[in-house]
Amino acid sequence: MGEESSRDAVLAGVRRANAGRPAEEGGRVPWPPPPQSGIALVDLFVARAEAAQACVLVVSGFAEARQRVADILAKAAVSQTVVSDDAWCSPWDMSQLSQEHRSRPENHSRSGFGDVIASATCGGGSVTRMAKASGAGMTCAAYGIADSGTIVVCSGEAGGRVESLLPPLHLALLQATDIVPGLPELLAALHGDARFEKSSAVTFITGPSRTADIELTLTIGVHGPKQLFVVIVAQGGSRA
Amino acid sequence: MRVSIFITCLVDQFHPEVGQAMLAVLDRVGIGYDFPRGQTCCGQPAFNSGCRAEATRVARHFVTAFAGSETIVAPSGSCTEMVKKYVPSLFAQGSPEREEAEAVAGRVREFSDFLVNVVKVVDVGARFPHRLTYHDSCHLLRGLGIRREPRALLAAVRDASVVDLPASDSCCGFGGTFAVKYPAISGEMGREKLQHAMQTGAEYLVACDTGCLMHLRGMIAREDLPLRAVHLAEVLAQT
Amino acid sequence: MSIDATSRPALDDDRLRGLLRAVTTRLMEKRSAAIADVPEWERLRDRARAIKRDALGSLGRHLVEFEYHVTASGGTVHWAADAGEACRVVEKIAADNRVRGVVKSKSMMSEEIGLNTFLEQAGLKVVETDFGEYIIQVAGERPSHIIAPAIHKSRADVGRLFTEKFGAAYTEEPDELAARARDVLRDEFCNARMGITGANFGVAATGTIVIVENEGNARMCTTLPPVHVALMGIEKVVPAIEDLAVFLTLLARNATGQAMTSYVSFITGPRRRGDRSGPEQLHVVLIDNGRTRMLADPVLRDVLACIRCGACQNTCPVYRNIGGHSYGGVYAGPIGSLLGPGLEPRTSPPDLPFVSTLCGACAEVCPVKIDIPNALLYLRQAAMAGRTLKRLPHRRAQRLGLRAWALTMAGPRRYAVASRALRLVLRAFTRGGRVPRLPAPLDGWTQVRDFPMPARQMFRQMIERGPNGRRE
Repeated sequence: MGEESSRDAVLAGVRRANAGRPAEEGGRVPWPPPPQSGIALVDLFVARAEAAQACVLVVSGFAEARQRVADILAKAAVSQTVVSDDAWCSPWDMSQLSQEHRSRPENHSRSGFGDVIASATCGGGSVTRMAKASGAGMTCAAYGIADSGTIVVCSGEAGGRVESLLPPLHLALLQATDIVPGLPELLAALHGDARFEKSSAVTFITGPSRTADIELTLTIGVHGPKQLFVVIVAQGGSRA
Repeated sequence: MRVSIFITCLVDQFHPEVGQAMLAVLDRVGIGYDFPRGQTCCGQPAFNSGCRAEATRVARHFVTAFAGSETIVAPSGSCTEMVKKYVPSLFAQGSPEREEAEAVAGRVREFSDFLVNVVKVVDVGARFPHRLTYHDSCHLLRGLGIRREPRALLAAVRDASVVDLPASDSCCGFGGTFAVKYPAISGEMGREKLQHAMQTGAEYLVACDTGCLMHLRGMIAREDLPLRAVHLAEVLAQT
Repeated sequence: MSIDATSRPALDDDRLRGLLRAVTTRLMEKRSAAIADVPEWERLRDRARAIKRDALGSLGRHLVEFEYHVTASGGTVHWAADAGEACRVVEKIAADNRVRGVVKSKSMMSEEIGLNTFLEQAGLKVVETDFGEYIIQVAGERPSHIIAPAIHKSRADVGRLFTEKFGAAYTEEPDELAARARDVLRDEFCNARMGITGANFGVAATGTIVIVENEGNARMCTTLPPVHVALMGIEKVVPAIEDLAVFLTLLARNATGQAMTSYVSFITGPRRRGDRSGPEQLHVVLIDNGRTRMLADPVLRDVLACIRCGACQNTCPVYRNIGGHSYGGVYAGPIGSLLGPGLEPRTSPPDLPFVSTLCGACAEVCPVKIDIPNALLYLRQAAMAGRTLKRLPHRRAQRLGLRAWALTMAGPRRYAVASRALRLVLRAFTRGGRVPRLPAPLDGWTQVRDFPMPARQMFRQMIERGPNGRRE
């Protein structure tokens, strides 16, 4: 059977099955309002993300963010980091990362981590190769979802897809003002967001990758990153 | 107040002592009763086997037998659920049979529900100095929403020590003809239930459904277990 | 063969049963903890049910809209009426793109259509990348649980398997075993020219497919190979992106007790111009394979609302004892007892709807409120009326027996006579105060338990004579 006729056959079957059915009773059950919680969104996000084994840092500015990111990379002795465009450029300015790090007196002798590369500088197709060879990948998060500790990465022209998937360490940069309470708010925001329309892959990320397939024993780090760091810039002070 | 006893075929045939116990409790709380002699069965075995026509035949007779009763009390969650939820639907929408069935269905109460919510009594003057644990029969619990009442009645039994049964709401494995068609599975489920009961150190496992009790008692006997399974009415009748 | 026979090996396997019980208990405990955080849980279930009902009621329109948007975003939609056609569609895409090896993430649909075998016979290499699925692929077995397919294998089993397969030193540490799989599979992801996945949901308004996972292997399958094929049952379509808020809130909590799985991918089309990574082609295969038949059935259409969370399996006391393989089909547990007859009527065991006590535990946990016991009763009726494709063994005899029973029960005098006869028979079988063996067809009872010996008098006889009895 040719595909055109399969399409016709399937749709005809659906139409027949639904023929003569009365319109569905009643409207949709309305979405219940979220319970009022006194906890600030950032605090809730941190708690939930940490419960999912993510490491979360809250800083008060972008310069401090760069400093803490450098510390993370140094501690993990990452030999190469690949950075998506939105993290490379303003306001995060990760293009300044290595330079600022080396210029700090305590880091004079050694930087502690290797090259930090903008994925924009990789030729077509080789971002993947670069990401495969990198110890860390850095991307921006378009949103954070507080009640599950989830970050949302809209990958697209600015990259973000393989940077957040292939290297064993993923650093996600999030502004506190982009944290929403829950899924209904997130999906409503996403629906109207041009980044969603332009993106072939929007990914919700909650903690590092995991499996419990053997006897339900939790193992962190299977195919996706083994470590997820979320750096949040919040007006109002640093934490952790 | 006066009620009609719907004895249920299992109690009538195999465990009349449960019926006797129920009457003793009703006497004690001052409730009069009668026994519509035409009654036989609610039709559940045929219904659960997928034989609607056969179930309807039996259900029709049930409705006739209890047509004159004001309040009907049964010592069984599954039979009560069958009558209340399924018997009316066996008859054509809008037919006089359906209306009659709905009327009768509206008047049936399970025994523990009747005591607590109609007679409004929890202490029926029972004394039973033993360690007890209670199993939630599926149709009683999920079909009728009755979980608090049997526990309240047991809690008021003098000198009884009631302990929680782990996984009390997990099916015991009776399931009517399931117990006959899938004995190995049924047996495994029953074994798990009895193991939980014995873990509590209880001497008596109490339930409100004779189907569950026949299955569990049968296994206790076959495997010679140090436990007894009894109906709630039997406990409440003790003084 | 009745499931009574086919489930015996599983019931005799103490180790399997222990593992199944431990796993299902743990998953249900985690579920309870997770839903305690969601006070509006019941209202969400109602909403989920309403969305699915609406979606199924306008399915034709939503499918056409979905197709339009997938196409507009650069993807291709294929339609397959049945399993065979779906397999051929995938094979053709592979042939058109010189694909020799395929990486797959977990997809019940791919099992349903028998895709792996089909592709392998066509000369393609197929690699399962979900850790549990990978394990059972290496072992040559079928999945036994929807969420944890290798749950029947202990760590020692897997350790031995991997040593045989990879030759490396023996380990049974799950961390190390996962690391081994990660290394092997990473090469496969990079070399395969096609990634095949399922789809948890398809959004009509945007042409987005949604994939839910924890390991990251689906992201690999949908990102690295140049061709991505997504297999989707036609019932998976939901109208709008906002609808996912309800389903994503319910799904992971119900399945594993997580607030959210590690990854949820919203994929709309292949890579866009200017993207530096992502597949060049996206193919969505919309598959019927019996779904329109279920949709046409007034009771079974509600079963199509299933979002494959697996909670009904975890709570089912029958499933916990017999495991997935005993259901004789791709889908197991309570939902399997409905999807089996619905989608695989030629091969599903005809007694499947009867392997349940109708306890109702499944309906209590179903996120889309499918009335599973009611649907089972409906299928029982169909089976006993001889309306099923596969004949129910002994159907006529059972029906006759119940007819005779009903006749007896419908008349008080017949009931009295039959009761007396029954008591005589039982007395004949009584030994030492009990009945250890009943004659056929009731001998199933006494296989595992005794039957009570008949009381001296029936209740109705006592009430007429005893000191407490009162006349009507």
